[in-house]
Amino acid sequence: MSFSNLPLSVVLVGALVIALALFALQWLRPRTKVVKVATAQFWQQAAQQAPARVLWQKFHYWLALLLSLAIALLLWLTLSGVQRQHDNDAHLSLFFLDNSVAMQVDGRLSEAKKRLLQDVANSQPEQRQVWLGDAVAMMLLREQDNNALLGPKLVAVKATAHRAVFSSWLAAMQQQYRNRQIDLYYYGAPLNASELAAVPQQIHLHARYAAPALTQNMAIVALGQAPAQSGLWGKVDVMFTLYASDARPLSANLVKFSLDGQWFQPTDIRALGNGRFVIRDMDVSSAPQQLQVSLANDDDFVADDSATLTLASTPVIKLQLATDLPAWLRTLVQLDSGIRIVQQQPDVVICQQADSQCPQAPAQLLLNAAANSALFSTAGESWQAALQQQWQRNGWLALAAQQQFPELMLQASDTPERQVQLNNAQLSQLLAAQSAALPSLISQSLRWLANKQQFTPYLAVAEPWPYTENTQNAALAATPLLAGSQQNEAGQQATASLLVANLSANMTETSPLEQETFAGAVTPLSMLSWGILLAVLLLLVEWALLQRGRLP
Amino acid sequence: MTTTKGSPLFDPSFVEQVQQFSLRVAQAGKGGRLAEQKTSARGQGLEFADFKPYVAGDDLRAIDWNIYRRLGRVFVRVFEEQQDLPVYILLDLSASMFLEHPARINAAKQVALALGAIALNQHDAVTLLPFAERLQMQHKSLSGKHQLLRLAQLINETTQQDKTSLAEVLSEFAGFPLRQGLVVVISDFFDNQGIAPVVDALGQLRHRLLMVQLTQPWDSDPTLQSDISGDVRLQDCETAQYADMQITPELLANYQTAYQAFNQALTQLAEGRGAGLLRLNASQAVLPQLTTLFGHGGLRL
Repeated sequence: MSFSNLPLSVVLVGALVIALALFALQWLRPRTKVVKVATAQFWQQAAQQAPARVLWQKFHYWLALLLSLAIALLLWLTLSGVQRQHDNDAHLSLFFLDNSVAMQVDGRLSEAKKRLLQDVANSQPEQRQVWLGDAVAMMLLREQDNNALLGPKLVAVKATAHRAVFSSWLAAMQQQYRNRQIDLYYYGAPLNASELAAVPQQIHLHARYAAPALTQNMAIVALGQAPAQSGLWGKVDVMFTLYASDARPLSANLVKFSLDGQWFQPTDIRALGNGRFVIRDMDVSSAPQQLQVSLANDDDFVADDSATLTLASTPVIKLQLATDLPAWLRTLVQLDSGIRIVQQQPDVVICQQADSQCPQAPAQLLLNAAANSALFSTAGESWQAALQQQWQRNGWLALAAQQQFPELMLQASDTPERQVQLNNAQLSQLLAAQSAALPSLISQSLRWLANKQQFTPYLAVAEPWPYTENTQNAALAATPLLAGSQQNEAGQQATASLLVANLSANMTETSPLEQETFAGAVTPLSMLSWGILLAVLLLLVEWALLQRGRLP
Repeated sequence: MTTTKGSPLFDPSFVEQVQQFSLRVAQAGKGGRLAEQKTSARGQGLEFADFKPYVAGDDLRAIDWNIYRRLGRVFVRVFEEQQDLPVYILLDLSASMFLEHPARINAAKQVALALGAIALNQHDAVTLLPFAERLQMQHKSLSGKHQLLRLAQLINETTQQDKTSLAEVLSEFAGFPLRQGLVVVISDFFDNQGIAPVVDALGQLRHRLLMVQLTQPWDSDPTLQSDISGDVRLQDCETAQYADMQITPELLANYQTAYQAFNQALTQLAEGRGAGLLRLNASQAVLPQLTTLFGHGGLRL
């Protein structure tokens, strides 16, 4: 048996019983009579003649015996308890420190670290692991690592703008230690009901620190852009959504804006209801700009008080036209502000398919007379779904089904060069019908051929880096983004911001899991130390009693 | 003058009865006043001792004219001269004499007074010497019957002292240039150094010796004290030191052996040098026990 395995209540009751027993023994202890005599010299002579020790005589001093027994048994139980602790290998204690964005509120992380240090100091290094819930969960202390290593490691731990990885980490732990009983000690943001429900039965969750709910929180929970509804070239509409935990009215006055670090006030902001707002006709004709939307007044949780968006750019496509093209086509492309007609080094060239003098270019738009479809071809197949979705959004697939638009054909070629083939007759038919889809078809085909992105990838925080065919290192695809703007090795830029509506809303909710006191086992070292200390104290008591003549 | 219990320590009848006793030594030292003790001195007296040739200055009344008539030479008769006896009463005032009930000191004081009264009654010189760790020389010797009250006052004024150093006191006393007489040691003779040094010191005395040993019944049989049983912590009344004992038959037997050896040493000393030894039970009346000592009226040492 080891004291460390007993529940606290049993330990306290046992201590009380021991105290009462000792109290009773004090009353029952035989008290020595003191007799003053004149004949002490004869008694001393008589005692000197008696043997020093005699076997099989009764114990004369029960208090001395009890003290000796207490000291000896205490040491024995302490040592045997240590041994039993070593034998209990089926048990595992996991300590999880969450440093996600929710812990950026002042004092949360420092309090969590403080509790964690206290609890780990009382844990058994042989049966515990300490994990940090970083963007990717990482182990701070392995089993057998000295507890003293934790403090220096925690100094560098900050709460960064990433989402909590507790659920995914928990699933991994369950998979890894499916045959072990696990006590999980949690220090972090409040866990919601669904996260608690996902905790498997083999894991006993102890919320040692669950961050307290904020009284109120206001946030920017959405920020995005779209081509301007006004149809103006070089303009975009920017949408953003505000959230407030209380019932305050939401207006555009609650936010402020900056473009490339310069504060400005948009001229046309319209409220769309439910906290949604749109900024119309933002000018994106110049180089890519960063738009930051911030709350006018910060609150306790500042991570969702601002969001940054890289506005769309308007790349110019260098186009070379063959000589035998229809005049309407030349007129049409000249009206497109994003296209510049060049005579050499084009991005895209437009030719008749039969034209043997067609200039060399990375991509070609060919007009033919044979095919009754719009044929898109390049290497690979990953591009096909996106293109099909685009046609779907444009409504062209439905028109094609009605024989009013070319049928979309997708072809994976052996070479990476892009090529689009359109049927002359069908284009003429659209021209004759004055269809608005004709310039769109030409424009979007040319932009697909030029393969120049208008919009840089924009992500919510902790979403993985977008996979594109240009991504050289596939491992990057799984890497979640921290808030802010990042660029990968391939030169791709992605922007991430908090913009997690649930997280902002959760900041003011109280966790359904109550905080627990640490019931972790006493470490063998500390148990041994306390046992020896207590034994030494008892020895001092015995010595004091001897000095005062209370013990023989 | 009362005992510690309030009963009278001395009373007239007690003094009157003890004055019937006499105390004689075989031969007292010379140099004292004329009194009743035999000495080796020659001079005035009643008992004829010898003749000596007449020298100028001799008492003409002592000339034996019959010898002069027969021998034609002048001789004078000389007589044994009887002088007083110096009696030195050494009274033990250590803590052990005052401890029990009744305390040994009560009987000791009565004995001291009785012996003093006897000596004063026969014109001897009495010197009271109380002692504990050291000898107390506080007054001159007393002579004459009229000094009895003074002696009683001196005895009564004695108070308890601390521990005993009997052997050292006796050695100190032996070094005093006193006229040879009778030393009366009234004590329990308990000394933490043991009885052997005490016996040695007693042997060095040039005086006649009378030892009055104050005893209690539980000295020889400790079980008469109800407290002495089981586990006890014994405290020496003089040194205040503790000794934890478990009273067992074996321990009692060892105790009694030690006590008998103590008594045996005193007895052998008394027999060896012709001294008197009176073992006086302090819990009983003193007078009957003195009567036993003095027999038919006199004690001759």
